[in-house]
Amino acid sequence: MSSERVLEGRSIVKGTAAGKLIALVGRSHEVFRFQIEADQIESELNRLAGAVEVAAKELESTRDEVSDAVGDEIGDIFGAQHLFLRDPELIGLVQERIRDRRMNSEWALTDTVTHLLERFASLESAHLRERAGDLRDVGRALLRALSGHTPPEQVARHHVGEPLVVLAHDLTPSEAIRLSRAGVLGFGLEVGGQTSHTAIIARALDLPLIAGLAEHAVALPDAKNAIIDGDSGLVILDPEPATSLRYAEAAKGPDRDLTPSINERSVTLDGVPIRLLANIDLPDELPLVETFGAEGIGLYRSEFLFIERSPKIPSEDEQTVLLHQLIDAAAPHPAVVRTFDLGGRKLAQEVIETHEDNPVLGLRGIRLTLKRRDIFKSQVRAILRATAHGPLRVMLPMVTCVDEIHEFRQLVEECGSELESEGVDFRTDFRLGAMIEVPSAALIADRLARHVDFLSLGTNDLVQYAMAVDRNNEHVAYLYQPLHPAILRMVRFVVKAAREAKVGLVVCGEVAADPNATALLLGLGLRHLSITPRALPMIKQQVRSLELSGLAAVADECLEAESAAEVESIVQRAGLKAG
Amino acid sequence: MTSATVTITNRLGLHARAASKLVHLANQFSCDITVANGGERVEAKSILGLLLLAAAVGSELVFECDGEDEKDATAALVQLVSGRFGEGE
Repeated sequence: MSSERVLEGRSIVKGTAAGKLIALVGRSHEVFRFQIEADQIESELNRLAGAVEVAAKELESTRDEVSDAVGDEIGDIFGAQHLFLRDPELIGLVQERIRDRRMNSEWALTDTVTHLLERFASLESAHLRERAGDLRDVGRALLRALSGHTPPEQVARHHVGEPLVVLAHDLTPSEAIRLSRAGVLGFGLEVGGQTSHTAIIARALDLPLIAGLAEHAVALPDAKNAIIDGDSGLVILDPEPATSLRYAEAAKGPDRDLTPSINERSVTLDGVPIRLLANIDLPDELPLVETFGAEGIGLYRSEFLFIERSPKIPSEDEQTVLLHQLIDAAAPHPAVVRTFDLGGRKLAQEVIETHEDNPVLGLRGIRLTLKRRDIFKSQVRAILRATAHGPLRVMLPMVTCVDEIHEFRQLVEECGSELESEGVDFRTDFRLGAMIEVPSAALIADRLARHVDFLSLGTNDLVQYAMAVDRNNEHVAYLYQPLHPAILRMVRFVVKAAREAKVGLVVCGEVAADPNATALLLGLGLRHLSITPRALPMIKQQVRSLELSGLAAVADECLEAESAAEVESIVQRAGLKAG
Repeated sequence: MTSATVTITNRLGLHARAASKLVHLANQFSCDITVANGGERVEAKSILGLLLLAAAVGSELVFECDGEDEKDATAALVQLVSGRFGEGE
């Protein structure tokens, strides 16, 4: 009988990964589950026994505190919980699941408690039904005692050197990074969209990611292994040997065909050079700039350093060294560092320390850094010091008005005089750019261009803000349409503004890595695309297959379209394979 | 093995506090102790088992004790139940 089952989601990061399944259950991943091997049974049983002792101690000290404060009567409640904790039947059921069903302790415990709670719920006596509360509390105390570590730490401890895949409700970017370091090769999430920060991390690390799995999908699978098929958006639980073989063979297949193009020039059929740069998130990725033949680094997302170091704030020296590496990796081409784009959602919450009802419209990007000089100054000083090492370009995220540019320049002056009085080597003549990722900035791009050396279109946020759509909200994710005529019109306006002011312009959003959008972007007048390194060969191949001369007319027609769907069909009709 | 049957006469039946007294008492003996209510049989040293037994007033509990101190255990348990778990009613 086949045990293979399939969960359907949306493909976010392509590629496939196969491995042992780890499920992070619950919104804060209080339970993580996997099937243990025969030789792990003993250690899981010991872990359970240890947790009982820890929980018992915790319970005793709580009981003593409560009895001291309010008397023995109420302290007795904890006595009942103590009986639960030492209950031979309860522990027996958990042990049985570990031993016979090969569940890890956390899983065995929660499965037992869930099962018992159902039995309590079916009792006739309301008085007895209420005792379920004690069981629930004891279950939680045991779980706390078992999981004294974060899920990534646990995964790293339990599975050294094994290929793993993870299913979770959601993952923070830092969890995703740490899990990848613990050997996780692919992710399946219940939430999340195309451009969530976790998706950006997964893309950066080249790990397939599927989002939009059914709610509670993660709690369901009673499976040992899984394949994450990021190409078709499927999670295959306990795959049949034939299925595994098929995927293993496909993994050896194409992709590599594109490598020869690394040494080819990025020019259109009619000889127009299109510059392809790399987006870099993590220092680990710097070698990819050369591997994939990027002509420079168009976007280094410096805030990822924060995520990695979280909750510690990276030091000025640490940042300076990293920027040196960045400059060296890009040489002889330029490297663009984007100043910390913190805030908004999930990224480095511990740094911001403010509660915002609507963080995406709140203190983020340049707004945050200009307010938090304590954090920002170390970065600006590191930038000035690194500029003495080699050519560096700097761009500011989330610019909405010209004043922000002025304020930043003042801060540069200030840091410059500090460094001067300290006798540290520095230069302030880096080229400065503004990100265009808010509609207000797009519509004053001509004015912003007077004050900077280049503009950079961040289409991910621009689409989000222009379409008023939360890109992580699965209910409205369909409205996240990078090819909507409104977006194309803004892009066209920015292209014109940059051209007239004779400043540089790069696109660094994910749309630049979509081969179906390449023709349209070139038609709109864009010549510099900054994309995730692994997409470079594919986009270069696309560039080399296009005749630039006809593309402007196609783009003009698209600007008059009524919808993203119409744009796609126009591009398709022109034989430029959109959609 | 020693066994004994005793009827629950306290109003609340084998509720949480009564069950917890029963576990405490059972834990003082080294023998294995089970208790049945109708078709269901559970360990008397398990609060969980006793509560899920859901024995109301009027239920007949059948204790079975097996081990060195089984006679003392049976007598003590019967006394606890017939003495209404030390409750007034």
